[in-house]
Amino acid sequence: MSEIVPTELESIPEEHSPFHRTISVLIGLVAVVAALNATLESDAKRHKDSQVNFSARLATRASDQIAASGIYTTFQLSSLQESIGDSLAATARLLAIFSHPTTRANETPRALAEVAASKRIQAIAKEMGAAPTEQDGVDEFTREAMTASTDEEAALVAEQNRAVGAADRYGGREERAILGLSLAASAAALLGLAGIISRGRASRILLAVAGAALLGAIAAGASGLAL
Amino acid sequence: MAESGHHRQAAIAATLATAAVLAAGLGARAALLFDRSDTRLQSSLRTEIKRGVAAVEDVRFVYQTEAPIAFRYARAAVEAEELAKQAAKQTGAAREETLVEADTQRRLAQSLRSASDIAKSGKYATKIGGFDVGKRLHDVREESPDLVGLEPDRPAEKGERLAWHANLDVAATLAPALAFLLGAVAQAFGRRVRKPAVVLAWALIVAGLSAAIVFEFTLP
Repeated sequence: MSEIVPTELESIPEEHSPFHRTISVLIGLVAVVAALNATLESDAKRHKDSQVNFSARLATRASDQIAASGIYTTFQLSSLQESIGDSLAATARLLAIFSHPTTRANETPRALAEVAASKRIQAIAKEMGAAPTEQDGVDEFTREAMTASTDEEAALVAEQNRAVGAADRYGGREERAILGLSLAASAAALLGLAGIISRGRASRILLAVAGAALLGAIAAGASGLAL
Repeated sequence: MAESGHHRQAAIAATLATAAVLAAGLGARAALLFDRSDTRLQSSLRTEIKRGVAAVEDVRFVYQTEAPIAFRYARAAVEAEELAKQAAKQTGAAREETLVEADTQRRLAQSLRSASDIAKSGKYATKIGGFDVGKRLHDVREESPDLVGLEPDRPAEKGERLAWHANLDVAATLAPALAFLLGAVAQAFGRRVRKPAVVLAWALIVAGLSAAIVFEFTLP
């Protein structure tokens, strides 16, 4: 360039040309879109991690309830069944004696003893099969696990499934935000390249592609929010 | 004029660089907090599993191993008592036969008693001849009080608080990102836009940094 006669190019510094202004503003916008997508990604990750953890804990709790209540109920029912069986056997013996009168003298005391014993044994079975209480000092978690009803277990499983569904939704949102971040990074790289090339068709194409990538980053984040 | 232009460029470059460094710093801090949050959440799951396994194992031991033997002991002991009562009312062969039955049940009860910690201890016996199995379960659980005292909710809550802090730090990067945008605008446009854009950008940088400091010292 001549130092004596300034040309038009010298009067307009390169960084102030419309092309470079566009690149500068787009780079600034890329930074803002990247920050928005990062915020969306971190929020989705926070919720997803929380729901994944919650669902895994609920699954564990459901297994514990099924195992503990199964063991407890088995004892409760089998001891009660045994005591009712004793009662039925005692009554059957009393009835059988009538068919075998010669054994009446020896069998009747035994049958009467069995009838009396079966009543007491039933009471013992009920007492031993009673669920532990707070007064026994058994912790709440164990008491709840032992006495969980089928309805309660079904509600727990439903809650666990809901948490898995929520984790899946937040996972989808996180993936969209990461896609948005990747597109924003691509846009920044393309804008840098366009700035270096500065002139010609190639730089305009790069600028257009970068603009499209930026719009894609915005769309990816927005679509994640819609999930 | 050239020196003024140089200063202008330096101011814009400093704004852009500071905004980028602050955003990177906030991102790094958030990553660290998320890492700690993940550790706490994993710890809560491990604690939940440990608590559940311990409880189920204790219930299994008491209600599947100990209580059925104690119940069979109680049953044999009650039958022995009732047979002995009936034998006392009889004479001759009927008495002898009933006594044999009573003795059989008494011997069975003795054998079962020696095999049952619940029956042997005497601590759990109830008035009607049974046993307080709930109390026994409590004692078995108390043999490992550290397992009874496990609280998986605590690390989970801590993990969620750390994740919230990380989330706020990431959200705070919006301030330096906007500052970066303003720096880029200042670079692109004339003097009229440049000065307010740079001033506003620095205000945002200070706001972002202040927010991060406030989060650091006020969040639990």
